[in-house]
Amino acid sequence: MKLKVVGIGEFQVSDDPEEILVTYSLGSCVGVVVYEPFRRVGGMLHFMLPDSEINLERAREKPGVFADTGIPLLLQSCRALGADLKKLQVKLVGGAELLGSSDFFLIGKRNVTAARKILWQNGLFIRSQEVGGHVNRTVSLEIATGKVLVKIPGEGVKEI
Amino acid sequence: MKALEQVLLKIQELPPFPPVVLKVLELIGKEAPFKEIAKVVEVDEGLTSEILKIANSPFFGLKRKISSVQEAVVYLGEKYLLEIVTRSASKRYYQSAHEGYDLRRGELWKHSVACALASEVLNKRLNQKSDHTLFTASLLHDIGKIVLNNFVKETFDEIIKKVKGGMTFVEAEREALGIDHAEIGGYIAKRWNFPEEIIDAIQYHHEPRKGALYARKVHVCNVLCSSLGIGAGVDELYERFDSEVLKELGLSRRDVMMLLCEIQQLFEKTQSLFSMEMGDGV
Repeated sequence: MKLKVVGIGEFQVSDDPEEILVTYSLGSCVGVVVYEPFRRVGGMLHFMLPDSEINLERAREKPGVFADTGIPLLLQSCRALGADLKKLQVKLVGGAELLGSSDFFLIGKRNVTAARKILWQNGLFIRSQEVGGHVNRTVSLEIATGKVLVKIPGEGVKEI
Repeated sequence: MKALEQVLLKIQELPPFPPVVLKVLELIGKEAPFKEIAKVVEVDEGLTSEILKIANSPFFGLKRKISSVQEAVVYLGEKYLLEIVTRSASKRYYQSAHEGYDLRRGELWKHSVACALASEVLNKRLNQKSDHTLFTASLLHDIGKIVLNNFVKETFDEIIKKVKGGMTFVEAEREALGIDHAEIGGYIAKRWNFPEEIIDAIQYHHEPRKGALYARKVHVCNVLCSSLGIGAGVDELYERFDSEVLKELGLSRRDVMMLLCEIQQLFEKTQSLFSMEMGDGV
């Protein structure tokens, strides 16, 4: 098994059954995990902020930082590997908040809402999710099986 | 109170903060000539090699090789010099894993460096100039965790139970152990003879409105880095974010998003340069 790490603001796609995609420490960031079970193509995006309008230069340099530039790119890259987007299984992870975050902040919630909206615009619904709360999450996707595991420090691992 | 006594004893055991760093801090603060600063640095072998390594790294892209601290100091300028000196000195305290907080080896260091970088980004966004005192306070804000780590590990289940019941991690530390990592950090900074602003900022980084301006700034830097998941252990999101502080500093929601973006960008750019040379596995 080979680990392919997805850094903050990055994405990876794969059709290699030997590979596992993983991203560490999702706080308010959101991990978008997609899998097409027939062609066994998977992808993962670790985005930070909902909207690229905040810093267009950064969006050009690193589109995965934002939901609106990252998600379409993730989907295109899956299609380029032969995935049928209509059969894509989508899972969302992350989008946590700090305790006491007032309406003023709530970046995690805004991120989740943005992801949902963009996926919906692409005709995709979320199959399962592990979002919100006050925890850090590490998520992995096994390309051979499509199995998605979420690890929370102090709480252990679960499949979603 | 037994745990508390043990903690206080542990603080005594912590090696002193390298005097060379305090000396450099002081000289830069006084705007002493580069030559004088270089003389102080040259005495420390570890620092000298670190500075030369960084001055010759591709990050600075200098055409010719720098072979003396004198030259390096001129090329790097005081901002980078101070960063290198402080980081290189602090690194030794952060090397082990901190299991009590469920942090992998080097993660607390990563978080600390990110916070220090964030302080630069924050000041820039507030149209204020780079501030060495704030940089040091941000870099060392979690130093108390190094001492508290062993005690948290022993009482971890109790703390988690309190956290799940709605307490912040810091409050739970205090309830279970009689003291929290911020207060311990304050003691340590005092023992190291740091200036009052740094002691205050470390001690109140979770209760910013009890502290002065630096405590507020460090609070913001800390929560933003935690929010990005940089070096975040089990406790990081179980901290209370005082968003009133943002308003006090005059930061809008848009500013906060821009800050997050810029902090991550700067962290990414400098990560390889100042890493602890550790594996990045699970």
